[in-house]
Amino acid sequence: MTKHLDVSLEIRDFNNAVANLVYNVVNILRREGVKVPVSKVVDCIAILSDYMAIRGFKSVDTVPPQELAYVIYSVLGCKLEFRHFLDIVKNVLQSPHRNAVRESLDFVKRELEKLGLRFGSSIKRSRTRFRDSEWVDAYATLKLLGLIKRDRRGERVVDEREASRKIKQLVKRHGSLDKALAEKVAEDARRGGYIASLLSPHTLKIVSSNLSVDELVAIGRAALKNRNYATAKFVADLVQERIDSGELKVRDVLDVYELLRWANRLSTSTLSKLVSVDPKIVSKLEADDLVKLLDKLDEQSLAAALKELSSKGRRYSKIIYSYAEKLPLTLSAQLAGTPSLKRIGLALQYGIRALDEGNTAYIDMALAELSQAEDHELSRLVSKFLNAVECILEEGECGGELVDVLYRIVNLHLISFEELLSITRAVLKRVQLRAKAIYLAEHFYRLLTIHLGFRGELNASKTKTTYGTKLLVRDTLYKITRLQDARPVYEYRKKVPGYVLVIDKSGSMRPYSVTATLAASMFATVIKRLVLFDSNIYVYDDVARKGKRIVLDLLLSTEFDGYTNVAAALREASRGIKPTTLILLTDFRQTVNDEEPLEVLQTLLRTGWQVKVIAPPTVDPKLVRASEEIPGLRVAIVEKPSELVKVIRRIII
Amino acid sequence: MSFIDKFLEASASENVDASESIEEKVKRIYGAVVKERKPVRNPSLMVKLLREEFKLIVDERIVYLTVAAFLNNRPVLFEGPPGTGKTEIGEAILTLWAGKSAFILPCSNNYDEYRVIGDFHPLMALKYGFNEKSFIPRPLLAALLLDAGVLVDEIRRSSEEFQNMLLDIVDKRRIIVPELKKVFYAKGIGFQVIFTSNPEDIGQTELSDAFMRRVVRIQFDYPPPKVEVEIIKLRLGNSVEFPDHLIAKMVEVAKILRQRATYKPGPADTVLWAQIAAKMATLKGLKRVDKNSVIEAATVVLYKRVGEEELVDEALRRVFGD
Repeated sequence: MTKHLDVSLEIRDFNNAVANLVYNVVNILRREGVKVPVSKVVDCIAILSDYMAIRGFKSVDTVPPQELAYVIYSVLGCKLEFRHFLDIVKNVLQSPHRNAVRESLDFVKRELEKLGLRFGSSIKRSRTRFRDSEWVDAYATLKLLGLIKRDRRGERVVDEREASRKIKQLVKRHGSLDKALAEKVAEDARRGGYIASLLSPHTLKIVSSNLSVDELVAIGRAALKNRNYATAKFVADLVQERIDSGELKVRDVLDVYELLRWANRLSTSTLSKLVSVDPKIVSKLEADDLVKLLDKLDEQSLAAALKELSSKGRRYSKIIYSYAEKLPLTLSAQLAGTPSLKRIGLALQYGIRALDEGNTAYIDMALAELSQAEDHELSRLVSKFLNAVECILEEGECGGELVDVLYRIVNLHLISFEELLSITRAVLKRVQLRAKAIYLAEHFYRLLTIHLGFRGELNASKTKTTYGTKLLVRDTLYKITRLQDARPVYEYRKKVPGYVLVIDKSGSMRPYSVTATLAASMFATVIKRLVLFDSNIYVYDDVARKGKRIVLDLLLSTEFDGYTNVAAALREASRGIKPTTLILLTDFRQTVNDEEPLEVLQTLLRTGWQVKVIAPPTVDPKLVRASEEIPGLRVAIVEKPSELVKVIRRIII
Repeated sequence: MSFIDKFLEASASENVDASESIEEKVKRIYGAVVKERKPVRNPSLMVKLLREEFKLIVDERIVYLTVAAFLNNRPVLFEGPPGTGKTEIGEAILTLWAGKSAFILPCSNNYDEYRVIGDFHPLMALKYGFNEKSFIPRPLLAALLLDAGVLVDEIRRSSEEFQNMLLDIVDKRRIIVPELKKVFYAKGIGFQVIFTSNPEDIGQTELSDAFMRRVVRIQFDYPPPKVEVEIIKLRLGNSVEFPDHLIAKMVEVAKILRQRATYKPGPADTVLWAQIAAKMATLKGLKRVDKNSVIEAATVVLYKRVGEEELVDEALRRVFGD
């Protein structure tokens, strides 16, 4: 009975091998554009199996590739050169996958030898063993690959069949065992890196290229906890190398700093790079290190560093004063290191608050602060600002003045454009100030767009020509009476396509609201349909005709709040109008259970829509990568409002 | 007595039983032509028999693949330049497989089902109507009923409808004759079909995708020189002594002409050339074939197209010298 079973298994394996071979060859052919019908594939498997049986071959491996290729080529009957076909078959036979599984299994067996174990045996941990670095390395490797499992009785190595199944699975998914290990190490690092920190430097070196700085740091810290100092040192070296080469996307700079300080790998250049990412670490430095570092920093980073130091009380006051002098006035005001400047800053803040809350009491407080400050160019500017605010609050016609002052303040880097925009937004909330605020916003946008280099609005242009659609009777008659050209004059309208603008106004987009509003306002005159959405969807049709002011009002009074449903918004946006260009501003954080946003986008693209996506830097990078594979879809990541102009120009052209 | 009756009387005098069934009819008409033998379905034995009995040197992969295709009831298409032995090899394999000599259908453009399945004798149809009495079975139906193989020669010369009709029959292994309201099924696995075609030949139809999807296409090519020499020796027999170096040179001439001339001599031509040279030498009373006989024979065999004589002469001069 068992014998019979063995035979049937053998036949099944045999057929499987033949089927796999044929299927892989056909797959390659199809990728090359050769059409191979399924019926041919079935025929081919049957005939090749019979051929091998009557020829006396017991497995695919024993048949010469030449002969395999001959049979498959004949049955498929495709019009390819035989030599090329033979190459394909040879490639499939020696595919890296096949060898990789075999090699991986050998590798696992070697690791088991190091552990002194066999497949299926249980593991007894002991302190002495954990001192043997080779043993620990092998243990961690197998544990990461999922070949050591824990059950009720303790840890054990999986049995051979499960191991080979698992290895096949890993190799198939990742391409090789090394890559699989690298992926598992990264996963472990994201969970704290406890097991990955047990790996030896040698093993880590193999997988390190796959790890981000954050993951490396996690492993390094875990290694320090485990007292695996060799690994921790090795990781610190890697981290320093990465940081010096400019890889600065780090979640927690303090962790990096601490790891590098432990390993004594903190050069001044590394430090200055770390400070530029997060100035908070300056307060952790020794005094002489700090001075060396501050010498090297550029203006912006220095200002940020000094600001951080100033928040730590009087300890650093000497250093702050000596370095603040080197900074230009505008930056030192931001720093507010000197008492006088601090007061001016405070006065400005009160002024903004007064505008924000519509409360004149703040203006008094601001004036009180200002009176104590020294007479300075800045203090004069701020007092002008306060006057304008007061005038506005008393319902006076001072919008133009306010805009002027605000613009100058922004130009001096006292507050950023983004801050200013949020002020405007705050002002708009006040109903009695609404009309003025919109006026202010309009002015402000004009200045802002000029400041950002965005000249000329997107609009339909009209020109007078001798061809076109609309006959201009008056102009024609005028020309005739003047005995000029007797040809009629027409008006020629250059059509600008109406855009559909879809803006995500959910809570996750709040830090990005300025950019979103700015982008929308740039399209204000050509928007065919404006869609604002969170989990609800608001559709405004024919917005451009209603005037720019209405659009601005609408955008500025929008609260960024709520859940996100991108898919539904896209569906709603495309409903009932002809396909045109759709501009989507979102971070793709779909928080409502619905279709995948990318799938909806694909459907839109298929139905003739052109889709451009503007996304904040917080967008999921996997999603961006996935979107790159969709033909016709462009995702532009905009980090600052100032990059917007470039991006929009690219989108429109 | 009408003309019809006269005719029928004459037929009756020939001992024709007008009430015999189609099967009996087939056996009576084709039985004499179809010689039975023991079927050979072992490919290695087939290769051996092809060499010893049919004097054919066949790549054993071709035989194995053909047998594997037959086991899956798939027709085989032999494709390659003329003179490479497609027809002969196909016929021999079919004969060995079925154990009966194979039927050959040489295709032409106006071939249709009436010529291959069967038609009705007009006079008998007038008298008895369209039924088994007046039906005349043709080769394809005969092969199906006798369980013999069919070689469809030069399939590219036939019309597409004809090809499709054949495919249907080969696929389902049955023939429907609507006039008789009868379906004939294949009796066993002996009924197999091999098509031959020469894609380089001019003035013929292209094979459809549907056709190519159903057949196993085996490509033939000119054999390597060594094998060709072996083929010639095998075909010549021992009647007269033929020096090896002369045969090698003949193969070389053929190779040159295959590259340059429009008429490309196949191994069949070189065999014929050798045979004629041997005959000429015997006529001259020589015991051993000499260079002159070979060159004289060349003019008979290789001068095929007008305007290419010079090419042949040049090739002969290059190989054999002046």
